[in-house]
Amino acid sequence: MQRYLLKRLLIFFPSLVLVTLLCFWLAASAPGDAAQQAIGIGEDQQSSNSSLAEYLALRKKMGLDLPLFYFSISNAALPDTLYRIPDSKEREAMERMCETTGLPEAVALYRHKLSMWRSEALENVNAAPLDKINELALEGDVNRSKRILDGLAADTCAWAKQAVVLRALLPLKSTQPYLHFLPVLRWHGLNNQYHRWLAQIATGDLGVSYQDQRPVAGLLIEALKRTLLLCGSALLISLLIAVPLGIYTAVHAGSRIDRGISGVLFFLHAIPNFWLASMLIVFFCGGDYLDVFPAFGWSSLDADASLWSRVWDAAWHLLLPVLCLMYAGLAYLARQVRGSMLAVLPAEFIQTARAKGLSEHAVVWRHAFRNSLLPLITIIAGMLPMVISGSFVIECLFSIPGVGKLTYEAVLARNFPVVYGSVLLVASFTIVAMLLADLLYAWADPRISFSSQQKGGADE
Amino acid sequence: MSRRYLQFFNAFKRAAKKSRFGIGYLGVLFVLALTCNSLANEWPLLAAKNGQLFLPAFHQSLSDMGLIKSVNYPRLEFFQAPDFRLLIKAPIPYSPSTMDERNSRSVSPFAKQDVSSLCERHWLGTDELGHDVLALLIHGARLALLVGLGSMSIAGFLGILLGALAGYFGDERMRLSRARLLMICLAFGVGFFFAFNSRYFILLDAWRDSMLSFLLQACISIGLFLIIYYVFYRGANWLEKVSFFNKRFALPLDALILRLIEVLLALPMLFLILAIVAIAKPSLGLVVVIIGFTSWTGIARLVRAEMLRIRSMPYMEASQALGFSPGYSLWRHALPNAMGPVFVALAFGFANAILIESGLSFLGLGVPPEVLTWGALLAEARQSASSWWLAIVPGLAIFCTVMACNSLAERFAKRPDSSSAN
Repeated sequence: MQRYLLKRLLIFFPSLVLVTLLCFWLAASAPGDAAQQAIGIGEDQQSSNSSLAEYLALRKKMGLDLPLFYFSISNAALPDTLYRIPDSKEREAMERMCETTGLPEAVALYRHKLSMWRSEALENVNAAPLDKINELALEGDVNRSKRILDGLAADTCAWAKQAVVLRALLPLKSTQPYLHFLPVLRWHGLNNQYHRWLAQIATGDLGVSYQDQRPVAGLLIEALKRTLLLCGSALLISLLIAVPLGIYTAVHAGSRIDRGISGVLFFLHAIPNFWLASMLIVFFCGGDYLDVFPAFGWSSLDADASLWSRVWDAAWHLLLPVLCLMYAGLAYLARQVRGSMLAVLPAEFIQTARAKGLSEHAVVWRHAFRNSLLPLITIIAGMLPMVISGSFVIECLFSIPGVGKLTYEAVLARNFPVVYGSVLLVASFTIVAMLLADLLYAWADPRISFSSQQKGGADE
Repeated sequence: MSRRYLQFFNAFKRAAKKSRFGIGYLGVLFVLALTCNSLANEWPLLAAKNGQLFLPAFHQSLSDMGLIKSVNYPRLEFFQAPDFRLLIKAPIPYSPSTMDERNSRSVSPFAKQDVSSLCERHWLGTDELGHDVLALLIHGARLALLVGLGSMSIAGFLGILLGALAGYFGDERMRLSRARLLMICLAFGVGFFFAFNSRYFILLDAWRDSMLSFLLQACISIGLFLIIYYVFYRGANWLEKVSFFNKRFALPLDALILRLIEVLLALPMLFLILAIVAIAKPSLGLVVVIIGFTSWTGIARLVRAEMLRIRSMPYMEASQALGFSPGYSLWRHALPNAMGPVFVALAFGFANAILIESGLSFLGLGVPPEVLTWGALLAEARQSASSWWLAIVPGLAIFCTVMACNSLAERFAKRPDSSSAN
């Protein structure tokens, strides 16, 4: 048992690390960064020198000017400090220029001069053409940059001299065009963004929501409670109905009732839950038809109402969502129970039990069902991601403030810390649940921990 | 194709016979998807005037695909003139984008409609902007099938490949020399670098330019990758002459692939799709690719389980004893017999992909608003709660598609085991 436990835990951590890597990578490739959001400027160019300086200082404070990961693999044409450029479009322009010329130092000098010229322009609009400079900053092609600079140099303005200087710095000839075919591995050490992010997460800090500046972890925990209540009750109810149904159909396999129930379950399994939910809302929650159930929200009573009425109100609100969430799982579970019961019923020990003269009830529940129970553990654990994903749509439709609705609204508002925080939370929650299911399985079935060939029930 | 794969099609025919509804419905859907441009189109199918013959609908669908440019082609109003000698209209004279101003604001299918003839009647009503629901439904069939087929071809390829490798080779049977492993790892690293990293800007420009040029550049990159891989693979033979590198060990392929599956299974797919959709530009293709890359795990597990059973069959031992290479036995003898469960999983996956996609478009995520899938149509029903036909029609279409796929899969799963007859 201990060896199995150890083995399972050893598999568990790489999964978790992979999930964090995925979340981090997605969050890092999101447009705009936390510093921009914090001082409230968009992805486009900064408007003044002071806000630019403030932004850069904040970036430094937040650690956004650090390399992304422990190491990076790129080609030799790219400078090793490329990650310091805040704007992704400017970074792309610089990359492009480096790759086509193969002269990273010359390009870096050119871009440095360009950014100095821009800060001059930001200070005094008349001293330099700001729109042209911004255009140059986003231009990755050397020849096109030269054309813009030619145009500026031909002007009879004060900035013509600057343009000539800049044009001279432009690396026109590519002396090392082969450079971008050379792979380079660069080691950045522990002081990188991923490491910092991971350390932050380990202390329970998932960042701050862009919208209301509240900590993401708090928001998520609050929402997760509701989602868990919703999913948990849906799972529990479907289990309570599915098990007797599955057993009944298995015992009476082939009969008319079995065929009828199986047909209905098959039918239920194919109904899209968002369709059913929207139909229920249209027909039962006010609107033009019946007004039986509250359509939206979690609970409409205040905290000072009595406990019982609050529970009753919450249940009333949750009835339709739980119904929409459970029927697909119910159909799936009942079919699984039926299948595993059918596998057990012809076994010899069932015949023995019957031969002993036990009642049919005892044979079915005590002997057959207990033996078909084992696969159910894994099946239920495997259903978790499905149920949580299902709750996503249902929460959005019924306006239940759970993780799904939180994530949906965050995606629409491009509130990335919340999106990736919730993905991380839900994924790690599922991984932990599956680990627990595996351990439970091993505990319930002693054969697992002793056999070295099979690695747990999840493999089947 | 070997005859063993043909056997699979025979089994498929048997299943199709038992599930008349499934195969019939999907067949109709395929026909609708193929002919939707001539079934529901505001452009007439055929028009003749002054000795000139026009094929407006055909021309329009070609120019939509970007194959021809319609600069000097007559406008739509030209064909609405009454003086044509011959004018054959589509059975439903509305495109999904047509807005019938006279029948806007959600006209019920049974209500009195403001149309000049029965041909122009909106048989399934209209939506808020006057789009014909039947036309939207028919064109949505094409999108639904595209979603299902596209994602399942990705998922099927990955699932069959990885599942077969995991099940057939297990943890012990894949014996590699150190040289081979080293060279394969190197080939992946170097190949990826030269084919994709060094050509990054070429690929990026092609992507921004057009789909066709991107496909061309991607093919060049993949070709380059394969060449590099081949060179390294041959290089391993040469390196194996050194005794240190010639030492063989068993690659635990099964364990590796199972761990990968476990990690993917733990990720709730919808949340993963959301995480990607949040940063990417909405596109149907992206949604299809994500669904494909996340739903191969079920297929892989089924193929693996089937392979575990097949590899201990006498005919596999015979194939081994005859000296066939593992690859040949796998492709020629093991895989054809594992196709049944694969088909079952693919059919379930097909239905699931359509469900996920319509759920996403229902919420308005991932799929751009101008791509009118069934889910997007269903979402319109949320805004106008009293127009029941907007909710019932696309919902029923999704439901029936899922039912048809599931029943076909179910029938196929119940087929008499033909593998024992071989």
